[in-house]
Amino acid sequence: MQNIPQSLEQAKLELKRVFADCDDFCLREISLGTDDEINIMIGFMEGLVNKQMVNADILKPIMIESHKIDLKYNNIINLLQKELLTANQLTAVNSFTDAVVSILSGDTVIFISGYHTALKVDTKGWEGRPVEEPDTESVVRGPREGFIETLQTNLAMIRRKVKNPNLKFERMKLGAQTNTDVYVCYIKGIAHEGIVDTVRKRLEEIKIDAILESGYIEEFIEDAPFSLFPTVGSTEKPDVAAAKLLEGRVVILCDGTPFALTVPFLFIESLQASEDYYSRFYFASLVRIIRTVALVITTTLPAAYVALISFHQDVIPFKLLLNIAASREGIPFSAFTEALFMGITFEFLREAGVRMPRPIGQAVSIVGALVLGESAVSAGLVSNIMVIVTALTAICSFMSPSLGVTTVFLRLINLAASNIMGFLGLTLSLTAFLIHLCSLRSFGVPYTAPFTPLAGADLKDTVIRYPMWAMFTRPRSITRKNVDRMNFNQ
Amino acid sequence: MPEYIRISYIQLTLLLTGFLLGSSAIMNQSDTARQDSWLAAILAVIAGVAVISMNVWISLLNPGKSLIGILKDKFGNVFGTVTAVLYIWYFIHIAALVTRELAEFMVTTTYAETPIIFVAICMVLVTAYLVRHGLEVIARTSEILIPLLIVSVIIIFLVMINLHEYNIENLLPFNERGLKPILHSSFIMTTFPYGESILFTMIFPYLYHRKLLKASILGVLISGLLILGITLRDLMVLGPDLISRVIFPPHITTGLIPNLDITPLVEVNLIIAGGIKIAICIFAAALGIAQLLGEHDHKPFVVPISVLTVVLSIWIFDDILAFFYWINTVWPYYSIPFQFVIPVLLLLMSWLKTKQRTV
Repeated sequence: MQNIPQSLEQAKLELKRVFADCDDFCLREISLGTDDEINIMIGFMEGLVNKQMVNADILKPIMIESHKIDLKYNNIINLLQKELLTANQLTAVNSFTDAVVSILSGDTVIFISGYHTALKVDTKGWEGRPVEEPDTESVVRGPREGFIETLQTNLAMIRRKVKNPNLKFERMKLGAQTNTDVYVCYIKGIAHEGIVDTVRKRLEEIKIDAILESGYIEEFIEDAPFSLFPTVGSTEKPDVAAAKLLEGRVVILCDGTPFALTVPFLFIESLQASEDYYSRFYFASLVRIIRTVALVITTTLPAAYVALISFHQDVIPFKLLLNIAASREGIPFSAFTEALFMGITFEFLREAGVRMPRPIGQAVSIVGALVLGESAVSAGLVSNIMVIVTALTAICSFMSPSLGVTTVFLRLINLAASNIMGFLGLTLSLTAFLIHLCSLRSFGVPYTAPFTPLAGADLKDTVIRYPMWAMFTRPRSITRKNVDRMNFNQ
Repeated sequence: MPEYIRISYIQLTLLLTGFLLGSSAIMNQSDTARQDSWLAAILAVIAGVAVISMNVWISLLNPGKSLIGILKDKFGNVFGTVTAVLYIWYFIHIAALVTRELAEFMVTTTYAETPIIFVAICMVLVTAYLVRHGLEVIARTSEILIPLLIVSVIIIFLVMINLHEYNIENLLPFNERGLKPILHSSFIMTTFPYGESILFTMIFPYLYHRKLLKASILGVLISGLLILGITLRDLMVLGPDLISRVIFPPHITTGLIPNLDITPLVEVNLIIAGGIKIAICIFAAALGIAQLLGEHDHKPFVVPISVLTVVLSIWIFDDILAFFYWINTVWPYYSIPFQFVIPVLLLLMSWLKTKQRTV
């Protein structure tokens, strides 16, 4: 580790060498006191610092206020730290590398001639997005603020929800080139220490040059990198992050992205939404049931339709069978081809809807609804029933957003299986997925908990949500410490 | 024995329920007792409780050891290895029988034109995938699937009540031909499926020993109750004459639900328990081979045993009728050494040894 040079000239040379061609780097030489005997140099990055703070808390005290006091001090560092500088956060740094990294993260570093120590003042202040309602997790009832790209603001938002010194934020720097700040957040005394240790260890093992989004981290710390199912959760809302922390989970915040990671992530969480806990439990339970049914529909409906049409016509009630036969008359393709065609078309529409600029959205919806829906039927490409099946599948696929593209894979695999073997194929492929789910773990916790291994009390927060006053334990499958939610003695 | 794999008692109970229900959810093998087969089912449950208690007791007297270890321990290296190999063969044989039965069921009832080997391969493929993940995953999967199966059996039972399909006169006259056919039928039902629970001595070492007996007996009772329910349902709905003529009575029964033909849906549910049974058999065989060879991992043996199971299931019988004839005439006597003679010997030897130690 390189030390900070004692001579200001040398320090200047070093800084100029490090920040050569970095024209946003500012270096200012000033002197302390009336007679120019103590030279001082401050360095910061333009755009990363709050200019008012630099002017009022650093420059003004050193250049003007210092005239009023006796400078016959032995130690200038002490003088600056204890009497002159009015900045609220001030630390001494000894290593030149640390000083450079601090400058790059928005601090102002004060070099003093004749000392091996420099002072680092927190003057971070850059332009950022204001706190807004996130698009991914919108709610009717509940807090509307979402995380933003600035890490400090996100930390503060969580801290404001959980005013408790046991809420720990542990900082790490990841990415050899980007030096991204990553925070491991957990509540000491609630989170399982083994899980926190695992998170720390897996984060430390990440060797990559850049972390631009928490998705980079997610791929490195996943338990099952090749699985279709996510074993790391993400959220954009501080209230969700706080709730996960209080359930004993660990939250990983990454600088530069509004998406925080939550681990361990269990399958049941893809059916839970923050609003379930803010509305009354009858309603919340109903919505949970609807979401569960929707998940089943979106993964199996096209497959079940193909199985019925191609293998088990005798199961369909006779009158409905006549209607289906009438609508399929003149269609040259098999039910499987139809389902595949419509399913892929829907994926096209969805991806186009996400990527394109907002104003063109209407054009796509018109093309999608009219041309591909209406005209495909009248042109004899697909049957009416198939359009209904696809529409229902599509609507239901939006109800479990955290599973995302997983449902598409499940749907296609089920479709293929049921085209080969009917209901037996569908059952076998669903069983295979179930086996896969049962074999997954997220940070040591079985992915299918609390259904299996059965954790009785945890079932209160699954397909139906019990009233708040009846859920008196934290999920035991995640943490076994301090599980009592309603005992205030500890 | 891997120490880190543990399964819970609920999981053991459900595994045992699924294992014993395995084939009984789709077939009704006790037709020698005719209208009294419900009595045979009750007697078989009582015998089943005795059998499972014996198997648990063997495990309790030899803590931490699976069947293979116990055999080697008690019979010496050479004779113990020979019996262990025979047992592994027996497990593979059971897996092949169940595979054949399930595949025949699907081919007979729904997929008339599909080659039976294709159905068998598809089912064993999923089972092998399950077994490769190990006992924990088998237990977790059955913890989700077996309750579903139990619920669907109960629903069929209740739907029939609602539709007034039950005819109590089908159970009369009681005890028409004396006790002998009933006893014979209950003997067959004891060997298939209850006696097969000797296979669970491969799994018992994965549990802590405290409540083993209770959980196992509960599993036998649940499956016994369900088998009794299925037998009574089929008897009362179809009558003993029809039952003796059809191959898969439950299929006919579910087909009788009016206005709605949901048989394919029900059938795929009913084969789940069979799938669990195949999985447990293949697991026990793979684990047995691994332990016999001193390997820690059962995984390398899963695929070969699965292939063997498929081939064997096709090869052993010409058709489903030969299968049923064999099950009812040869199987019970073929099973006696595996299910009763060797276990009783093991129990006596273990018991005498502990007694010597305490005295």
